[in-house]
Amino acid sequence: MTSLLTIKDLVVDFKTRAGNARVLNQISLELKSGEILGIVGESGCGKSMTALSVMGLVPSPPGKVSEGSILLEEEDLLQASNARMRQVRGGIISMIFQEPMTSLNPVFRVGDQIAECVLLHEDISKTDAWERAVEMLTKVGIPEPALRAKAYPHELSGGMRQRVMIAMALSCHPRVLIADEPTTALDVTVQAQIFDLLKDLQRETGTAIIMITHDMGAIAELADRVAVMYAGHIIESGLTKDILENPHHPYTRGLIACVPHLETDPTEVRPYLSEIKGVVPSLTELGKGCAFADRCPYKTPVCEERRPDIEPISEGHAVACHNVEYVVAV
Amino acid sequence: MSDETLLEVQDLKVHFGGKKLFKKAMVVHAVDGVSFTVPKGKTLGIVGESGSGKTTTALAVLRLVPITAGKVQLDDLEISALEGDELRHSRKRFQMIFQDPYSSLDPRQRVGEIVREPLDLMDIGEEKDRDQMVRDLFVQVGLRPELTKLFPHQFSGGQRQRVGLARALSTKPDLIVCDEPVSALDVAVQAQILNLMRKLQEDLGLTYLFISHDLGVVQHLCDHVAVMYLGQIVEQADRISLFKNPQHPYTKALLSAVPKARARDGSEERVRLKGDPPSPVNLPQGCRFAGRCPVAIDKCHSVPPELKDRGDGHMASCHLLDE
Repeated sequence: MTSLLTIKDLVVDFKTRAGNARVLNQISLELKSGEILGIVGESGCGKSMTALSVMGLVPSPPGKVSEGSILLEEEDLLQASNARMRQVRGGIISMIFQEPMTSLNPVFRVGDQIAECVLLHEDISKTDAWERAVEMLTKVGIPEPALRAKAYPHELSGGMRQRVMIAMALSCHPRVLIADEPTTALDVTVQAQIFDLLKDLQRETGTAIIMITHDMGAIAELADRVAVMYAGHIIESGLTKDILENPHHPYTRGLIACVPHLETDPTEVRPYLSEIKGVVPSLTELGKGCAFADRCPYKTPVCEERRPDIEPISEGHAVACHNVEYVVAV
Repeated sequence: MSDETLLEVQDLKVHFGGKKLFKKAMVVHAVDGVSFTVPKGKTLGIVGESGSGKTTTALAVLRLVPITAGKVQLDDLEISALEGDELRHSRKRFQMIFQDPYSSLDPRQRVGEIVREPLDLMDIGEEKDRDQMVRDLFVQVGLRPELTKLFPHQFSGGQRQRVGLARALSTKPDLIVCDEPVSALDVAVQAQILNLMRKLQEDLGLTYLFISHDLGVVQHLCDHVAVMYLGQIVEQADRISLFKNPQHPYTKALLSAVPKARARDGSEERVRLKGDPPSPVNLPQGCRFAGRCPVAIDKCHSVPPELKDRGDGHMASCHLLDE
């Protein structure tokens, strides 16, 4: 499969009062057409910033894309003009945001909001755009779409609003869909519906999806490949199965082990959850060593001196850790 | 339940709204006939989707919303009958931890003062000893005692939740009601707080009423679990029985909707619910879940089922289990 979107050595800096915060540090990612790539990590690790960089939406100032490139096939989006970026956003790459409650405009009917997006990108009449909106609402499984298109956002439930957001994002048949925590604000039963919907739409339209989440469960459910982020770095990436069943980086291991997973056959004895000690370091105070070193149970002197590069350990599986052989052995 | 009961809730009802001057009366049946008991030193988890009434149940137990009907009994204290000063002074026996550690601490107070305030209000201990008591509480929840002078914005989310815990513990309560205490935290911090809550329970013999939508967390922390749907408990059992052998179709659907954190092998049976829960204003006539239930029969739409014991204290309300 050809690579649709290639992020190469991307560096994003934010000027803060406490100094320069490097929120993305040499990020490299590749999205092939038709695949679902998961990006997972805790708050502040840079996963949303990666999405905003691709969309050309890094708030500037204080933010600044300092180095690297974001290639949409051959075209570098970081060099693209504002006019071109407006075509790209919504037309070729579109995004679903975390909060369906606040991302829709409360004073317009949802049908008009979807139609607006279509009118901006395609040369069609208002009537046709409205019809497209209704068609999209049908596609995302909203009952009585012609009627619902006339509803205002407050008349819809959270799950319905997220469906409207998905309908809007897909209305111009984008090639890449970025979903930033699309189900965090929703109940589990509704979350399951949205996951099924995303999978179905992806199969039908072949849109590639970047799924940003903090939930390993969501990754297991949807993603083909995963990148794990920590303090602005990608520290491990690989096939979902490899990452979930055979994580190599101490942080990935900790992240998977510290969540109380739902078991179908719970036991009487309940061990305490394993913890990752300490807190995420401040991005303005990262030293020259590995960002995870302070919290890492396998730390050696080299970890404090030099930041590990992300290196392949097997086909499609890469890890950034000096002591990866030792970590896996114990 | 052979253990000594600490909290007993009987047929609790909380209705909001009522007769309007020119409009038709609109009554929201937020909690509609809920009964449960929590044994001393144990944890009861209440799970359900948003709008199921789990938070309202918690608030009603604490008398933070008006109770429409029913009885709440904490040991020898009938919480639902208390009024005025009596209620205020009794509050030291039942405390709460809130969901959002960012908005539940006063940004203008130093965290030491936040933890000390209940001691002053409830007149606990000698005044000169209270600063030391605050420092001890900080140590107990895993914060360094010299941090008492800082303001909440200088803390991370996990540290703030520890401050919230210290404040709740300050009055030495019998019961702590926890409303989604870890849902606003990152997973690594969530593990730290959950472990702390378990350790405190073991050390101090605390009883928790734990409200959550996260079934993994509930399975980990709770001894008994009640599943709520639209203001009522539809299933209630001890932890092992509920998760191993769920009876109610809603519980089954809820459990199968939770993503499993391992690669799928496609063997799992999935129950997918359609649509959203109906509004608590216009309640359906029969079983409240009937409209979304994948196995509903005719009877379900006309007759509400009863919550009955299905063996070993495993309670469930479903007509299909009656047959």
